[in-house]
Order: sequence, then C-alpha cells, then structure tokens
Amino acid sequence: MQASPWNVYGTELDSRLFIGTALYPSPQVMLEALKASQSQVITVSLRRQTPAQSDSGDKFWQLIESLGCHLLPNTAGCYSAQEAIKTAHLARELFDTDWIKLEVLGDSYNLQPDPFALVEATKVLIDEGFKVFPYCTDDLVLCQKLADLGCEVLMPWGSPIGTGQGLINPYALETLRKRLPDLILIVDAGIGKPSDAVQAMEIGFDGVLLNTAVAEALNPAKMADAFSQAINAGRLAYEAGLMPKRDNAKPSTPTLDQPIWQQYD
Amino acid sequence: MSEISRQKIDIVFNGEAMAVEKGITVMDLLHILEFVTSRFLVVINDHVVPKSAYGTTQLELGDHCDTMSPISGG
Repeated sequence: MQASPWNVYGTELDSRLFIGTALYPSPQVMLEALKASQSQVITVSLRRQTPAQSDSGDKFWQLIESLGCHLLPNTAGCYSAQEAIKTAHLARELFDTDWIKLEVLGDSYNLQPDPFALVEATKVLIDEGFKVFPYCTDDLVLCQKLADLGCEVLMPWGSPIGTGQGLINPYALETLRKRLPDLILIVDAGIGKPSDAVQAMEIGFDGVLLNTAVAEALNPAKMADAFSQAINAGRLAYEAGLMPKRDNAKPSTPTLDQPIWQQYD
Repeated sequence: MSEISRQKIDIVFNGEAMAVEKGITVMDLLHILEFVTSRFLVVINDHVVPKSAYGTTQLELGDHCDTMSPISGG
C-alpha cells in the first residue's frame, strides 16, 4: 500500500523522500541510488566551474536531467543572509526553479543554521517570489517566525548534517508537529538509518530529506530502497493512527468464555 | 571573434587574474576557454549575463567574471 500523495508548494508528490546527490562513490552509483529511492525531489547545488571541470559538470547535469525529478537547489556553504540571497538568485537562473533549500550556517563545528540570518534571508526571498524550504533548527519560536513570513514548508534538523545521529530531540520535533499542524514539516539532516526516518514519519512529519545515509552506505541503491520503504511505512502508520501507550498490561486474547478450568485458577 | 584591439586588460575570471584582449565579449571568452557545457551561467560583477547578450557584452577592466555550473548537493 502506498501512503497518500501530498502537495508541496502546489506540486503533488507521491514519494515523501527528498534525496541529495552528493558524496556518492561514482555518478553511476548515484544514479542507481536515486532511481531506487523513487524520490521525486532531488537536491543540487552550484559552484564556480573552470573550463577544465566543465565536462564533468555537464555529465552530472545530464544524469540529473535524465531522471526528470523536481530540483531543489541549496545555498550550502553560505554563512550570511547576503551570501544566501545571492546564491538563491543564481540558483533560480541556473536551475529554472523558484524552489530554494535555504541554508544559512552559523557555526562551522556542527553546521547549525543561523536563525537570525535565516529569518532575514527568508523574508527577502519570499518577497521576491521564491518558494523557500528553510533548513532550520527545531526551535519552535524560530519555526513560527518562518511560518509567519510565508514558508509553507519547514525543514528542521534531526541532528547535525552528516552525523547520522537520528532524531536527537524527538520532543522538540513532536512539539513542532503539534503547534504547527498545517505546515509541511520535513526532517532535514542527521538521519542515519531507516528507523530514524520511520520515527520522524510516525510522529507526523510529512517527509524526510537525506543524503549521507544513502551515499555512504555499502550499497547505496539498496539503502535508498530501504529508506523509501521505511518512509512509506512510517507515513502509513501515522495515517492509520497509532495506539496510545499504556502503563498497565492489557490482555490481547479475550477472557470471556474461557474454559472452566482456567476460571478456577 | 568580434573586433578587438591588441591592447590587454586585466579581469578576474573564476577568482583568478587573467589578461584578455580589450573589447573581448563573453562569447569570445567562452570560445577561447573552450567552455563546453549545456547548463551554466555567466556572472559579471554579481550580475547574470543573459545568454542572448553573450555576443554583445564586452568585458571591462577589473571585471569579475564567473561561470557557474550545477554540482551535486545535499
């Protein structure tokens, strides 16, 4: 069974997995993994490229183009609102999309987003017509401010980029889900294994964005398939409605009309 | 190549100093550098140059010219 489709900034999607294109051991392995993921949204970036590098850059572009996915360019590596805004402008021209994964980093140790610069850049880009996907922390007040600015999608971290530590603060993520019920929430960063993704989906997140967990697996295509199935399973479970937790045990086998010898035990 | 003089001017191309013929256009520069790729941007002094203007946009002394291409990203 497939979980229900969803709508992201007016685009209907079946897959709830967004996947990155970095860190794969080869372009062919990347292509196989992206196909196995069944993702319909892939993240890309842009850089200055010299003529000597242009051939490999073009091959990358041709592979990406062959997939026919929606592209989500990022502003990776930007440490100020101005840098991120400038990068977003170039990304819009280069990839012909107004979607932007807005990253404004505040610390080089844990690559934590700078919440103040993120809000500043988000405001400018939304005013310019961008569909902003902000990579943010799980801070509720920050997320509320981003939503107030017009973000329909928020992408809080599960844990720092590339650490594979999973959801280090599930309480904060659950709180976001409860307090922002109408927003699209996508866990971005820190997912290490499929069960992390299931956990995010079961608490009601709408999607998962990941890269390293697939790209650095021994078999990236197989891991991409595992994540695809896990995310679908987690969403199905959320839609089905999880049973509440109880402190006391409750027999699952009916006790009425038991054989008479058990009633005398 | 378009009409250019033999006088050289200094520009910065992709972060590195470069001397080019005065009057050179973006199209001339891409041709000289054998820049072959299907998807890229040319940015001069932080402004994107439309493809339709490659043949008419001349590089000026001190210009910062960059070519931007897609790369992998997470």
